[in-house]
Amino acid sequence: MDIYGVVMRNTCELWPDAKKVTEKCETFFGTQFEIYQPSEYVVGTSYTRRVSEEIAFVLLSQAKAGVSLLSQDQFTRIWRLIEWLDYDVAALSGGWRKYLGLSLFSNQKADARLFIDASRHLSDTLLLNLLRGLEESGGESVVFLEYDILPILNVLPSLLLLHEHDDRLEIGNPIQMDCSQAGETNY
Amino acid sequence: MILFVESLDYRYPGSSRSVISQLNLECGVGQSLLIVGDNGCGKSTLGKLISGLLQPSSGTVVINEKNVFRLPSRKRVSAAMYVHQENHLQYFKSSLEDEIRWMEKWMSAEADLTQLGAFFVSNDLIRNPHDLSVNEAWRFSLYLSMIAPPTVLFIDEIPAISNRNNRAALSNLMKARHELGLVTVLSYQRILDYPFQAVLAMEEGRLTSV
Repeated sequence: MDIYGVVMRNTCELWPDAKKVTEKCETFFGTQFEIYQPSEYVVGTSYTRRVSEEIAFVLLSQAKAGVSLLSQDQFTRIWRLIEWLDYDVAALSGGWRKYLGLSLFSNQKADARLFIDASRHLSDTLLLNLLRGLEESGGESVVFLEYDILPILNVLPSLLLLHEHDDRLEIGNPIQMDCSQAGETNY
Repeated sequence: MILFVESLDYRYPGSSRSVISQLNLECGVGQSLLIVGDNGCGKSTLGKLISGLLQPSSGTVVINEKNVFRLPSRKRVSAAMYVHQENHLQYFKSSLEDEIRWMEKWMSAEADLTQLGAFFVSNDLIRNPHDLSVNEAWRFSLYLSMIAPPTVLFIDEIPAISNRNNRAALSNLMKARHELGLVTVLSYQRILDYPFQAVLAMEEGRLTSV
């Protein structure tokens, strides 16, 4: 599986729907993506009370739709959620709540996944857990569109960088940071 | 001391585990502090306790010799303000101008619109705050906090440290607050290359020096 990060010139384009840059990704890869984008009002929301119930509910729904990848036991082990099973979802910290949503999203069969604003709020530990979980989830490619690309690059130096050129993306060179200029870039 | 936190303890309702455990903290005039820690270590909870948004299970938060939890709400916001990690949750008006006017009214202060530039917020004030991108929304929160600067400002995360406008806005805020002798606390998952006067690590509900 190849993991890409898009080096963005203007991260304001990620809100509210990242439509333009998503189209560039679809053109570059020649495929449609399963797209993750967190809800604005994600705080405190879940279908059920406890983490274990939430996982069971979502995995059952995915199984009924024929897209589930892992059993509940496999899922909790691979995504390192065992110690949180008895917690109320609402009592999780913002980062852990987001990670739970990311892990559940990633348990769907897909050849290509596009993550919009996935890494914000996640520590390096949870970023590594996410990348390991994605490796186990299979698929050909994963693309990250982030407000800040550096945290992922720091934990995954082999991240493949895609640079924006007008209306297309190109595989690019390592990022050159220039902190002297103002801007809305993500590097 | 401007901010004095002593033996702070907090458990979420129904939980037997202390998120914050016998935590102590002191900040002096104009001090800036970075609190670093993993997800779930209690950074946001500490910010809400310092800002009086949560009542501790035990312990005290004192700002300028006054117990935060005994202050009426308006005085409490003057003492300590919390910038949420999901800034959009803090907006409830339909334009930036209305948010600014509401803050002026609530805090009995007058906004300086020329300062919007220091936070890289365009002066197109008819925009809906919910149309702002994550970074713009965060910088607008910083601007609002400077209309009537609180004695202690707790900023729960910077959304993107590589964003140069965010970096410049944070620098401008910290410089202005330092000159006013006010305390600024930022929490984040990683150590930042910023001139904070102290960097503390949070682990298992307690703070240690880095």
